[in-house]
This record gives sequence, C-alpha cells and structure tokens, in this order.
Amino acid sequence: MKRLLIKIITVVVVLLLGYISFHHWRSCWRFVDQFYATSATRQNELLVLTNGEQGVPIFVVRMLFNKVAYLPWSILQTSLQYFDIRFLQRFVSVVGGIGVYLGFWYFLQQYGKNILLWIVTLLLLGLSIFEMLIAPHNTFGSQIFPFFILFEAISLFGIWQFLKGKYLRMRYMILFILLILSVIYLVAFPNAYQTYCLNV
Amino acid sequence: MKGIIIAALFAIVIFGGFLRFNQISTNPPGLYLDEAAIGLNAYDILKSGRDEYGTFLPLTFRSFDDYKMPGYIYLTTVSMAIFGKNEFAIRFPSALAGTATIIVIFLLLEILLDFHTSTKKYKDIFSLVGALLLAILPWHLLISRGGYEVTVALFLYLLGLVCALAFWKQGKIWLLISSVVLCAFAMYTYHSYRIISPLTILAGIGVLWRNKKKREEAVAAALLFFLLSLPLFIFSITPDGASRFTQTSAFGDDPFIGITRIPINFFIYVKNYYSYYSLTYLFSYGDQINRHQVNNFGLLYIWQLPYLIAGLYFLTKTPNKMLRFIILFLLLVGPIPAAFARPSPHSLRFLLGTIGFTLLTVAGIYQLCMQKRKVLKKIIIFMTIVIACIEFSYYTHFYYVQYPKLAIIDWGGGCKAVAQKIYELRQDYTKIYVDKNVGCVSEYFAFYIPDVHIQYLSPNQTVSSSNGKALYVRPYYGSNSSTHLVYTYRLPVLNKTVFAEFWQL
Repeated sequence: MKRLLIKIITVVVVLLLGYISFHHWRSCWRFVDQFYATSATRQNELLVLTNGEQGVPIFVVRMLFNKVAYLPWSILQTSLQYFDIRFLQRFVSVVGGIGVYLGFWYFLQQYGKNILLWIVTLLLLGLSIFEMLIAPHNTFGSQIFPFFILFEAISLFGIWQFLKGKYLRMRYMILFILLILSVIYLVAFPNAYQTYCLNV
Repeated sequence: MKGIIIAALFAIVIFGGFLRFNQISTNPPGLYLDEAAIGLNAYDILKSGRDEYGTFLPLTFRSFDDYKMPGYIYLTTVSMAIFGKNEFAIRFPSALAGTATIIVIFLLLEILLDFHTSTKKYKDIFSLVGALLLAILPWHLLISRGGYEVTVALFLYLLGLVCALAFWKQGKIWLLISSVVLCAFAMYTYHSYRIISPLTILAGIGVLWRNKKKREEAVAAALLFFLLSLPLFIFSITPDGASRFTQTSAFGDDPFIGITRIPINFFIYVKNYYSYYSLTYLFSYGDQINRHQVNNFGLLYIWQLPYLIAGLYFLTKTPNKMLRFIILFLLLVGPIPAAFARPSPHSLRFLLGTIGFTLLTVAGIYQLCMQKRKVLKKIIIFMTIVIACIEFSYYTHFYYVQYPKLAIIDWGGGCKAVAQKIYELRQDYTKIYVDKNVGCVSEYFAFYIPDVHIQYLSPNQTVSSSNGKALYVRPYYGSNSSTHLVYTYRLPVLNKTVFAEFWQL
C-alpha cells in the first residue's frame, strides 16, 4: 500500500512538472517554422533547392523537385520534430520527455497490445500531422492542450511501467535524479521553450 | 555458398570504396582548417621528421594549441610520400579506413550473430546487409570523405572489438593482444577514444573476470593497455593535454558560478548526452554543420526509422545476449565523451553511432524477416528497397550537385582559390598582405603556397602605399573606387558572392 502511494505521488509530481513546463507554451502564437510543412512553405523550399541545380538537365530537376516527390519526404522529416526529445524536454519537462520514450518502449515490449496506447499514439500522430499541414493560426494556445494531454498520458504510462520489476530502489533513484534535473532546467532555463515557440 | 558471400562482400566493398573515393580531391570543395593543419604537419614530418613547431616526431601535434592526436598525421605522412602534397593524400587514410570499416562491420556481425543458435542460421546474409547499409550510410559516407581522424579511430576501435569477440569465442591469446593494441591505437588517433577505449577495455575485463578461467588474461590485458596508454595518460594530465577539453568544454558559458555550477553542469551534460538520440538530429537536420552533413538530409535515411524501432523490439526479445550487449554498448557509450563538448550533438564525435545504428537497423530487418506472414513480409521488403533506392539517389544527387556549391565556405574552398591567385600574382609585388577577415588562416597559405611570404593584417591596421609594389587581399568592404582593384574572386555559387578582393597599393 505504502509502495503504491509513493508511486502515485511520484507520478503526480511528474505530471505537475510537466504542467509547469507546458504552461509557458499557452502564451505562444505558434511553433517555429520547422514544425510546419504547409504547401506554401514547401513550395518556397523547392524554389530554393532548384537554385542549386544549375547545369542539371531540366527533366532531372523536374523529376526530383516536385511536390509529389518532395512533400511526403518533407512531411516525414517535419513530423519527427513533434517527437524529438529536445522539444519534449521543453514541452513536458525533462522527466516527462524521457517518460514519453519509456512509454513507447514499454508499448513495444507489450507487443503493441495496449489498445488505449494505440489510440493515444494514433491521436498524437493525427494531431501532429494536422498541426503541421495547416497554416499558423490564432487559437494555438488552446489547440496545443490536447498535445500536452496525449504526451502526458504516454509519459505517465512509461513512468508507471518503469517503477515496476527488479532493482526498484535504483529505478526510484534514477527517477529522482531526473526529477531534480527537470527542476534545475525549469529554474535555470525558464525561457528554453522559446527555441521552439514564437511568442505573441 | 561461401564463395557467393565473399563475392557479394567484395562487390559491396568496391561500391563503398567508389562512393568514398570518387572525386574526393574536389568534393568536399577545398580543405577544412584541420585538414590543412594535418597536411602541413604531415608534410613537415615527411621532409624533416619535425612538426611545424620543430618538435621531432611528436607524440601529440600542437597545431592550433588543440594538440592533435598523432595517428592520422603519421598516416598522412605515408600517404603524402606516395601521392604527394595534395588534398587526395590528406583524405586518403580516412577514405581507406572508411572503406575497410565495411569489411569490419561484416566480420562483427558474423561473430555477433554466431553467438546464439537462433541468429546463427542467417548470419551471412544479415552480415552482408549490415555491410551494404554502412557502405551507403550518409553519416559514415560523408565523414569518410573528409580528412578526419575519427574515421581511422573508428576503424581501429571496431577491429579491436572484433578481435576481442573472436578471442571470447576462440580463446587465442594473440586476438586479445591485438584487441588491446588496436583500442590503444584508436586512442592515439582521435580524442573521443581517450574515453571510449578505456571504457571498452574496462567492460571487456569485467566480462572476462566473470569467467574464472580467464582472469589471468583479463589482468594481462589490463596491464598491457595501461602500459600502452601511459604516455597519453601522462600527457593528458598536463595543462597542454587538457587544453582540448578546455577549448571545447560544454561547461562555462552561462552566468552560473560557484556551487550552483555543479548541478547546472550535470544537467548540461545529461542534456547533451540525450541530444545524440534526438530524432531531428538523426533524421532531419543533423548537427547543422555543413561539413558533417548534406543540406536537407539527416545522418540516417528516413526509411531506417521503422527498422530502428523494430530493432529495439528485437533487442527486448532476442536470446542472443552478446548481440544485445554490443548494440546497446555501442549506442550508449558513444555520446559519453561527446557530451562533455560543445556543440552537442556533434556528428564527428559520435561517429561510433554509425555502427550502433547500423547494427540496430540490421536487427530490425532481421525481426521483420522472421515474421511468418510471407506475403506481407515480401511487400514490406520490396517497398523498403524501392524507398531506400529513391532516398539514396536523392542523397547522391544532392551530394554531387548541390553540396560543392553550398558547403564551399565551410570547407575553405575560397581560401584555396585565393592562395592560387596570390601565387599567380606574387612576382609583381614585393609585399603581400592578407586581411584576417578574409577568413583564411596561415595554415592554408603555408600548405598551398609555402614559398610565398604573407603578412596578416587586423581589420583596423592600415597599409601605407608602396608605389604599386604591395598586394592587399581583403573581403568586400563596400563599394569603393576600383582604380587599384586587380582582381575579385567570387564564389562559384548562384549569387556569386565576393569572397576576396585583390588591391594593388
């Protein structure tokens, strides 16, 4: 019972730190450019890329630099930004970010049989693709809240699973260090989130 | 069957070698600062046995006060003796080591997959897959083409690892000795291995120690390694030896002082450490240093991502403990020295990651191939091959067409042209001045035009007229009367940016 209580308290602390990290983001106007893969931005990129193609036969340039070929690749590259550890450490705290990866790890270990986690993952993917493909918008502050909820869900699942099994004391020790690091990050670098967000 | 495997490996090595050696003198365009310094020192050693500061056969090369490890410079000396003083000679050891690493990763996979019956059956085919993957891997490919010490260090280290694993299987003592010697040589080739090699030896000794029959060998290996690394260890604790750490240290740029530094530094280290596993770093943007990556490409191919995830899944299930241990070890130990430095992540310092991620991708492909649904499996394999070919074509196109133009400044390509022009004009002038703002350090001129005496000027320094007998090379400082302008060098890029102007004074 006591162990369960400690576990719950730990998870609540992780959630709290995640929220403290996240609350800055609500004042953002939008993510920075590398989070978006709208048609207009990609068209500009294609234009820039073709500038370096002097002397190359035109049919090769047309074959390589067209939206059909370039967009899927570009969307894939951009979508990784939403699952990047450097973004997550700013979005849901250091411990939360590592929790997200732990969540995916345990999800894999369970043969991907956790239906709830499938739903959360698919929602996250859908949401990130939606965000990526639309132009920056004014309701950003409220629209990123679902991101927070979904990332936290995976993160807390990961942390919960991490606090199971052998060497429990060591696991708590690692988590404790991560919590301390998260606090240090929040106190020492309060504006770190601005790397990925444009303020109003 | 064995013949086919060897033929296939030969073909892969030839292909990998072609990718690494093709147009190596001109692309990367120019010589990077460190390459020029390596070339200069290697040439001096070849001519007189002394480095640029006059030290006879030094253990470390002072160079830009970064005290370069000696391995690569001595190799370049040999290369210069054969090919002469040129870009090819400087890059040859790196490209050769990069090509040879393809064979070594094949051997590594052969041994690792042989450790358990479950993975033994298909070891040849998956070892070939690993070799092919490394041969075309953007990260390894690009770094192999530059005159980087790390490529040779990686080769030596990996060969050492193969020898250690072979010793574990066969028990032949010469394999253990070779392993220790190779790991020690890696330390003398690149800074990061001053930490990675001892950690590996320590882990190896730990593994050997658990087997009571092999404890004597463990002690002998530890002693041999200690003896071999002693000169470097003694050097490392001197102020000169620590200078490299001080120059690149990730700690100390922010306003935190005193006791608060400890947790902050610890945090910076941890943050740097896990930045090496950042998805955007690996797949989208790399470390944003043009010398380490082709613009718009990450370090790995995007098609590898699902296989890396499958590889992680494989690691959780495989009974081949040695395979799991080595993959995780290579992936986790790589960023340990790199995280101390800035900028982080940095693709050169974490080149060991190429091996870890290649092995993990192979594990993922293995996991897919062991699936029972044959039709689905075939479809996925076919699609992967198609996507991999498309991505590889894109990459090579970017590398050969766009990269030489986009990365010319990063590789000091402009400096070579400036040096050549100065050489052309040298006889018309008694004095030649070069403005430091041009961005070409003395090593470039010492390498390309050693006989021409050049004086460097700070931006504030003025040059008095010498009746047309002096040449002044400077960047474009705005429009001016061009009566004395002799020549303007423009970069061969679309907007023809002015790189340097040659003025007659």
